[in-house]
Amino acid sequence: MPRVSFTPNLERHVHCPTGEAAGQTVRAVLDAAFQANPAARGYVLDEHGELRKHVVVFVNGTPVRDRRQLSDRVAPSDEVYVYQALSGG
Amino acid sequence: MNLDRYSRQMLFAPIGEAGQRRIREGRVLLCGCGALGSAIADGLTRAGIGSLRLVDRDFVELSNLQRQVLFDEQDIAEQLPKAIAAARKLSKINSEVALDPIVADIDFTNILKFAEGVDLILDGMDNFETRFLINDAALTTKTPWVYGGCVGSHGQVLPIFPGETACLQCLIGDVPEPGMTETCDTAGVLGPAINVVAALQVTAALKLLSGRRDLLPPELTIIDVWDGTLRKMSVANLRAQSNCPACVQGRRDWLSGTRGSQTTVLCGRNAVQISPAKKQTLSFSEMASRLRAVGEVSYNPFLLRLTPTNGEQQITLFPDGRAIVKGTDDLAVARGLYARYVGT
Repeated sequence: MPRVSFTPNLERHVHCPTGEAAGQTVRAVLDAAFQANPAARGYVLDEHGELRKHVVVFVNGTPVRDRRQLSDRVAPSDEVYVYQALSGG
Repeated sequence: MNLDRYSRQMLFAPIGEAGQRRIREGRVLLCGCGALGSAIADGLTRAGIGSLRLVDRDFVELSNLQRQVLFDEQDIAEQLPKAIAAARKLSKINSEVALDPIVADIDFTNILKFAEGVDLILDGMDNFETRFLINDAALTTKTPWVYGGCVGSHGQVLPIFPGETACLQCLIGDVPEPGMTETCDTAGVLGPAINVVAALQVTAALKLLSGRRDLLPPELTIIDVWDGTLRKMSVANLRAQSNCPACVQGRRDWLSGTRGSQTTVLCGRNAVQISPAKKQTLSFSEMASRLRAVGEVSYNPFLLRLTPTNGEQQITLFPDGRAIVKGTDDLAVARGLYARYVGT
């Protein structure tokens, strides 16, 4: 199964530990991850189910192309990483 | 040019003497001189860049000293702005570097002036709005810049080459909605995280200034000092797939003043900054005599501080009319105090 991890600042904000989530697209993988960690959904997706503007999802270190439908394919050995930009400094 | 003091840096083969000579010619704008900014300024000054223009809107406070490496308790006692305090320290560290400290809030009216004639812009800011403004200015002037951000134990760095690699707006389309990200207010920040992010930014600067631009791939570096992790994410295709409003479509929403606010809650400070639409030239001696009736007042050439007798807030006023109201994160309260004591 694909491995899903969330940027540490999000992981410390809401419960969303690194884990495996079933699915063949980014949407399916994230939906599976949010079933286990529902509070994280609102920080990643907006009310239309699209990626929030300051969030990027990387599959194996490359940003996904489809930020709306999240239709990029994910293989069982892939790593999905949810990134959030940081404001502090 | 005597380069003896840089001998250890020149012994590092990828820089060498030729690279050091190029670094000595390098001209850098540093936006923000807080935690990231002071660590960056320290690194660049010791490395021997040619000139460093430091712009910061803030003054030194006790809570800064945990992580802002250029400042000390004397700076607080003297009520110094960070840009001035930083330049004093930096000039003692390396008097060969031409320092240009500027006490100002970076906004769409002044950023191009600050960016004039520099080879590189480094980000030491603490908010997204100014970073989007830096991004617009860098795209307009075709100046490379290095984004750095930090919260808690976590940080990220992205070098940006305008017109070539993904810009900040390719990566993050817009500023986050309120409450959607951790800030220094909610998550705090560790000094070591700041130092790692600043070190990565300074390293990127040294590569670029020494002529090794080829060693800066389009990668977002993400670190966490608590977890001991470092990740690199490729953003090589991001510009092509983003249809970015700024770097692909050519819009400059932040630099044109269409976006951006005049009143800002300051990250981690329980404070609000108010910038008057029109810059002013205040006479602190006149202001002080007027305000002594309402509270305790002190001032120096850089700022005036008022602590009203019947209030929990403190107002720090700068010569151009800008103010930082401490003791509230309520914009309306801050605006009210400004109107009452400073005028509109």
